[in-house]
Amino acid sequence: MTLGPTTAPETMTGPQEPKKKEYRGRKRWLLLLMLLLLLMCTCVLWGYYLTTRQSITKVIPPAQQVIAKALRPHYLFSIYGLNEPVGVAVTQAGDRIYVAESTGDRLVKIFDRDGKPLATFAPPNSRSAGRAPLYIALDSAGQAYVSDRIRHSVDIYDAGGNYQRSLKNPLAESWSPLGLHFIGEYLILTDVSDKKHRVVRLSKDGGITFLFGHEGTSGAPDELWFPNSAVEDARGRVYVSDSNNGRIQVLDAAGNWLYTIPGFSLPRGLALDADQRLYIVDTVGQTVKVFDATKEQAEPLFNFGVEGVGDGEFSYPNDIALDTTDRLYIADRANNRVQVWVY
Amino acid sequence: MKHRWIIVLALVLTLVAVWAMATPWGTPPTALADNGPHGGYTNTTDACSGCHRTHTAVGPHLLKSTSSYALCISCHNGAGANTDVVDGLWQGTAGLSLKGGGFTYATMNVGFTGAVSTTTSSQHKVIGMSGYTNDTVWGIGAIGSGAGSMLALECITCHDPHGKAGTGGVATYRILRASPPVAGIGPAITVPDVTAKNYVITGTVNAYTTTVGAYYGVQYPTGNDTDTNNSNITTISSWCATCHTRIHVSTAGSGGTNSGDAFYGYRHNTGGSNVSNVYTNGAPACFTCHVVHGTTASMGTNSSTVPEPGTAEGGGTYLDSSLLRVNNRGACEICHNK
Repeated sequence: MTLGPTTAPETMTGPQEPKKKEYRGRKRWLLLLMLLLLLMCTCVLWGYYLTTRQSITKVIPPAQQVIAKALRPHYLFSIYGLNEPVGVAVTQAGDRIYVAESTGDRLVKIFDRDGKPLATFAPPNSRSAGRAPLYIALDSAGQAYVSDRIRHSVDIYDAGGNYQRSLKNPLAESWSPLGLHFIGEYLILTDVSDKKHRVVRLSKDGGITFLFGHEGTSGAPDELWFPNSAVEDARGRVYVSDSNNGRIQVLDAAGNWLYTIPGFSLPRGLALDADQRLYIVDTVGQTVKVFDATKEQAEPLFNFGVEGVGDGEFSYPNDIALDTTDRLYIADRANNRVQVWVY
Repeated sequence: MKHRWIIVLALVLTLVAVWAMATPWGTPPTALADNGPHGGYTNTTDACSGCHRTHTAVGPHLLKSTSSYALCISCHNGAGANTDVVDGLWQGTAGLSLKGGGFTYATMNVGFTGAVSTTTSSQHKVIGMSGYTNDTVWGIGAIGSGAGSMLALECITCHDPHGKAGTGGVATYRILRASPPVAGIGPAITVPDVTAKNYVITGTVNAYTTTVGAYYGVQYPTGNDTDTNNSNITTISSWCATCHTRIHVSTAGSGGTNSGDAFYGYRHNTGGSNVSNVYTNGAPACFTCHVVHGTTASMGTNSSTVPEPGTAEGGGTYLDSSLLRVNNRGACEICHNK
């Protein structure tokens, strides 16, 4: 066990040292290469995700879509600083949210995705007593179409809120436009002129492609009473919130009545998402009811929101808008806010 | 084998969960009555649960919302009714005003220079409006019972949202209750309904005409209402007096007669029966000078320093524009022409 003078250090720094250094260098390069490959893979996958991402119901097999369709959205946050908002619209990317106020200064206010105020606008030379913006629709160019209950007009603004012009009345007589929705290049609006409550579908050049309904309360299919909104699904079917009759009227692409969805307290704002879920804001019901519009006759999926003043609770919600990032925007009128929900 | 059973069980549980998630709300949703919320109910009506909850209400009157005003203006802001009481406008046709004015805005010809839409200066405020919890009802009660007492008004204090509000279940003008649901007032007054309803004041310019005589020629419920029973005017004044009891008097010469009340001693006759020509008919009715929901009239130096009943002159507690139809005291001058 006697330990003699050791030569180990000399041995370790002997002739094997260059090989070790070379080995270490190669290992380092290999690691670097692997890291680079990983980074490239991540970038490619991320790019692929960003360009091809779609709703969960699109990427799962159809047989299991019922699960995804029944998934409920949850409350995210609210946009405050509003006076009884009644109408809401949003760009597809969700980067600009337009809200129409029914009291106070009665402005249309624009917010960014986080709810930060960007701008406000109103008809030129108008005072709050002389205007009442109600519903908003955004066209493919980003222009905002705003129906005004007092002015009996649809006023058109650019994306920043600068007044451009008012929509020419396409009807033969005076009108009282209310609900507005763009479906591609078509504009579907509701008119509540005295005794002439109806739905009008306009082509890009302003021509009437169909006209449906008249004022009535007897329950006949072609009777409407203060229709507040109309949207069109992927099959060309038009859903009309026949508000004061407490029902949704469903029409075919030519404007012929198909069937009725009954059972609402006061249905107002409507919206359809990419999965053909139909969202119906029931103002007095204090909730949003969601239907599956892919069925032959729309079937209920679920509802969300209850009466109240807390997060996710509604007080006379009036309108709804959707973007393509799975966010939902609800004008929560008597709570003076717009609620943002998300899937 | 054992594991297979676990898998089958998990599958069954998953299916149950999916079924539970996909099943819609259990209770059938509610709808308004066929004729809307204000009547037309059947013995098996579906209407009640549109607004009420029997055992789980969150607001008074078993409402499923906390504010009846918010409920009413869900429609009566113009989005669901032509009678837009927020703006004081008839929304079925552009440019027509409601006879009762509006709560927030009104389009009135208060200065005889043309109808202008602007913010109201006084309103018959109700619960749910900003800053209002209650207020003094001037002249309520019997002789000698003070200037008035505090009441918290709601839309439903005057209107019965279920319709047929008259004594015996008869239809009334503007679904007015025969008697407000307030203790100790009365007697009940049924204001008869009119067949052809017209809620607006029409004229050559926008809403109120600038012609003074014509301005008063389109009153409740004569003229545009196609109702020749002018006694309805008197009835409406009596109806107002179910609350403003000591303000209303229909005795000729009452201006020279002391009622004996400490605050409402000498009073203007309000028992007129025809306001369509105020120059030839001495007694006005309440609506000759006042609107009922809200006015845009403005008050000048003298008119804005009229003390509230029971307070001293110059004491700093003054009446507002008191729902008057015309600026200052134009309502006096039109008849008395001094």
